[in-house]
Amino acid sequence: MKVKIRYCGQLKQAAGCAVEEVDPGGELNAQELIASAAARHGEPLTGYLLDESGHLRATVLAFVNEEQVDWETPRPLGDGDELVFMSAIAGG
Amino acid sequence: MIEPKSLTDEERAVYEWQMWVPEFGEEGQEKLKGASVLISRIGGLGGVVAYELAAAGVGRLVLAHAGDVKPSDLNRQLLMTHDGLGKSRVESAARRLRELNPRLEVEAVAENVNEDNAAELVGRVDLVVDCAPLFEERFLMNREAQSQGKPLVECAMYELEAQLTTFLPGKTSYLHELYPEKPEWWKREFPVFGAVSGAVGCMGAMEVIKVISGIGDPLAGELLVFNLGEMRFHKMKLGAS
Repeated sequence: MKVKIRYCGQLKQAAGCAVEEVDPGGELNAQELIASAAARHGEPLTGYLLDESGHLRATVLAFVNEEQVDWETPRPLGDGDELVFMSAIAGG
Repeated sequence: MIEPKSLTDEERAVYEWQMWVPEFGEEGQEKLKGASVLISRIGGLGGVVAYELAAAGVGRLVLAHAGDVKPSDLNRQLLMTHDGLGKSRVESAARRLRELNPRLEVEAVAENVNEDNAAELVGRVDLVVDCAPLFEERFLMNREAQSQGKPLVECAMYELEAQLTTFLPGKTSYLHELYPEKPEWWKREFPVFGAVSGAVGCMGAMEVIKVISGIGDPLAGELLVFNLGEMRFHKMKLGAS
């Protein structure tokens, strides 16, 4: 199974890439894939994505195939799915 | 509730081309004339929103922005000019808007939205456009717009990327519900091209026109995300699936 992960805004710099394709090596839901992406990249991405409890930060939105992920509801993933991380940005 | 205002012959001549848009017509134009919009702030993003709404014939704009024009404003703040360096941003913007549309009523407020003025500023208008660079201002405006039952168009950009959505009272969540906390890493100054802030500003103005006139489908419950580096556009569905 292959899943594309896209990082937007300041998360792109924290991840060191705008997009990556990963093979989770088994059945993972979106929440597990988010945790594994944070662990794989380490800091600073982990601090941007996850709070001290390991939950998605309130300043980050995650989407699978353009639908927002609710952290409390496991979201199954399939081959070819796209996970997008988006950080809050402003104007000026 | 917006009270439509009848048009003069001069206004019919000016707005003729947009009144040809199906389902908009003279009725839509009368709604724009009767409407009032708060824009905070009027820099690279809000300045373009204001310019497009002034051109489109919105009757009254309330502009909130503190400070004077600086050299680093001029790559994107299209209502500011080289001659205006060191002078009030909001006065410069009001002058440029009146040059474009002398029928426009402009209220220039030389303050940013803050705890003391948020309720009063939001209370003056039918709709709010959030273009502020600081989350403290954005959350204040959103809370006020929601509590006063007013729509809010939320515009944001960073580097070559932008986000746009429209919050509608009783129908969608507002910013503080979408992002319950401000990102600690956000800084007031950040990389951006004027063409990016201008692009999302034009789209934000179109959201205002749609909400006021009732044409089209506003981005309610959806977040438009685009990256002009890749010319990639996506509409993301908001809310837990």
